[in-house]
Amino acid sequence: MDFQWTQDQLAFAADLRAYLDSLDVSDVLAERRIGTAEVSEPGAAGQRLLKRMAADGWLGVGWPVEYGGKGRSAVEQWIFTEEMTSRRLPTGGLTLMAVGPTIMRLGTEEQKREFLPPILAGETVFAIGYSEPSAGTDLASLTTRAVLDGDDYVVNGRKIWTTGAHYATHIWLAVRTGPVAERSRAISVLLVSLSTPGISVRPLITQSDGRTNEVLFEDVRVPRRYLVGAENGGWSVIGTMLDFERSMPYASTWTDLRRLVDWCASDESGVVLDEAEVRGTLGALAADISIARLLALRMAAEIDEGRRTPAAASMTKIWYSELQQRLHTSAIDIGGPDVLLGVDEPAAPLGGVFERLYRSSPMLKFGAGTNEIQRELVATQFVGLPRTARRASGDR
Amino acid sequence: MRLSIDSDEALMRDTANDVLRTAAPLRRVLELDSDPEGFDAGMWRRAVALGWTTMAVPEEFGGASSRLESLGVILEEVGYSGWGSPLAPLAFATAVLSRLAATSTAAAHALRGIASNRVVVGTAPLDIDGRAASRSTTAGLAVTAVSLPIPWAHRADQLVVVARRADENIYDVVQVDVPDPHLTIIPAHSLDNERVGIVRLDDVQVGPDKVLASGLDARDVDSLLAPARALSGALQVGHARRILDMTAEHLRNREQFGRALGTLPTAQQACADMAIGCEGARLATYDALSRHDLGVAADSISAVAAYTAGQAGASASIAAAQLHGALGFMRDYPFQIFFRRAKAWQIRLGSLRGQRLALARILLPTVRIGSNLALDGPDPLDNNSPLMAGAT
Repeated sequence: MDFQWTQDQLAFAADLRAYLDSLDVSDVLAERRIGTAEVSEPGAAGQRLLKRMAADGWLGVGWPVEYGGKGRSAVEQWIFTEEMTSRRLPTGGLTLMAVGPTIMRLGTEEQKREFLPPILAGETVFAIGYSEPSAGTDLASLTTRAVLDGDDYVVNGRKIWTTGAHYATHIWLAVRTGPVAERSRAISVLLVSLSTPGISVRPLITQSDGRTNEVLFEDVRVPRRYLVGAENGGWSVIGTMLDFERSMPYASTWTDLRRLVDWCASDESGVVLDEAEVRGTLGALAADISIARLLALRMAAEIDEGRRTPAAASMTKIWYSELQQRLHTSAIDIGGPDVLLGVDEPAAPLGGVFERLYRSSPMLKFGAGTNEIQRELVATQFVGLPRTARRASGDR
Repeated sequence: MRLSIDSDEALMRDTANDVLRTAAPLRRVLELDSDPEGFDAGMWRRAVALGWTTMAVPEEFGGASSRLESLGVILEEVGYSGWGSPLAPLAFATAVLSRLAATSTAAAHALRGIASNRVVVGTAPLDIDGRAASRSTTAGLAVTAVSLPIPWAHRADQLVVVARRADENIYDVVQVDVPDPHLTIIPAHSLDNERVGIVRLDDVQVGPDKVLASGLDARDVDSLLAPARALSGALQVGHARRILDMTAEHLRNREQFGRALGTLPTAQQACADMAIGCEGARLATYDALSRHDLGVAADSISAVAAYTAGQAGASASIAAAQLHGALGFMRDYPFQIFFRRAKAWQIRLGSLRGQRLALARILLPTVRIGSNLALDGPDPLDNNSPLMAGAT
């Protein structure tokens, strides 16, 4: 095997670092004052940064050149994400790395012309409209309905956990266009402007003080030309986007571990870093972060090689999300009562980062495809166990 | 960057797998498990004839100078087969001696011995918990240990012992010939189907010609043991893989309530965790082995490989035992071989406490704020970084 960087990859990394070092990102960091692990949408300063990077040609690293990207490899996309995330900077997320590539693959030429350039410019941002109050893990049971009326679909329904809907320009919307009993065979995907009349966005505040949203659709008219793929063919569109989403690189959490170690070593912490239990826990976490890094790199390397270990993305997601929770739980366990102090408390160690990250720690385990279902994918696609029969009709 | 084995190694793996499946099938592994000696002379001769015992010895000492990654492929299949033998401990000792050969004539001599089919094994080769103690003498060193369980020591011609000079908190690595008037080795059974020799060293005198290295600090020992740690990862990945495969087969075939047990969500969840542990450990192991072959820094990833492979095997064995149920608990059912081997080999590397402290000792100083393009060694974008030199 060959785990070594090429000169090209190192040169890319060096150029990226030099570019990022030249930027003043203090306003972005002030917005994102909490650690790298938080899946946090960019604020206003973050969005300005993304637009600046787009103008400077640094967004869409992995996009094909024909669509305005740099045509870089998946491994270089990993390098980009690693560098950005380690500096606590936004990466352009799902819009850039999942929605855009899906439109490239499945969109009409008109959709590509309309959406890809502004996505790459950081001007068009998508929120993902999948989950509903009664349709989470079982997305195929969604009920937000789109009925064709002339040249428009008329959409009525309700989406939940629509993160970013309050600042996004568009929503990638999964709708029902056929009988409910047909389940996944009667779902379509629409590209919907969030400024369309009839859409209202209501905040849902998480236990980690993050924001997600509920989005209501009342007689929202969406031109038919914004249908992605075939009507009732949306399940495979969703699958394609999920593939891209799950192939998004996970950046390592070394920075979080380093801050924890440094804090433990400080006089103020009262932690005895030399204590075997403390050092051993930190050492084991470092090993687990190494594994997360390798799993993510393997995904990227295989994309570039044109091969795919079955369920590799699921494995990576499970490991990374559960490692996050272990890391942030360990910080609390090691730190003791002081680290329970709230994020706005003057006496809170490192600005309360540990308690905030602990509060956010469950999210990655159920988000982006809950880990139980991810494990099912690993078991069936990689290990080769028989599928568990659920509702046979309507599902693929 | 290519994170899959190449065609040559795939052939080597398949060949090793075929040989072991034929010459050391599970039926034979079970027989040996019940045998007092637990040693299959025929299979050992086969391994020698195939060059497995000498492949990693450098060519200048009579070996084949094979890549460590290739030896790892063989050891992974040995782990997969469940065959207990001195091969893995010999491989670990070879790796350690190869590290020392440039500066130690004793190590060079020992390697020539291995190339001539002498068996050299070492102290729980990855453990620096200091259960052997050394002291300076006018003639060199003297080493004492009350009870060291060393795999296959009773079949060895030489032992490599890592000993701690307690007063000075430094380490010596010495060679002890078998027999020695102050050395006792008593064969013993262990948790698994490997046999150990309980080694007692009564102030064994070690002349300068038998001192492999002296005055090392803990990090020096970590560097010395790094290739052995990486190889141990390969063996244990083999265990984890076999446990997963056996369990998956069982779950596909065993039906209850009119359906395969493998359709149960809880069974699927458990198998998924086994698979993830195995895959992560395998990547770390081959990352470590390939770095050793390139001659670049590998201390961190080697410690990660050994630890995570041990965790993968041991945790898989616990989960799998539940899934195999009473059947898997029976002595004549092969699964129990791997249940025992996975845990035994995990802790043969040293206690979990010791392994985690080694991780802390090696990794924590290298964890940096900012992106980590290199786990081992300096950031590759530093000037004069060996990684820049090693980049393809």
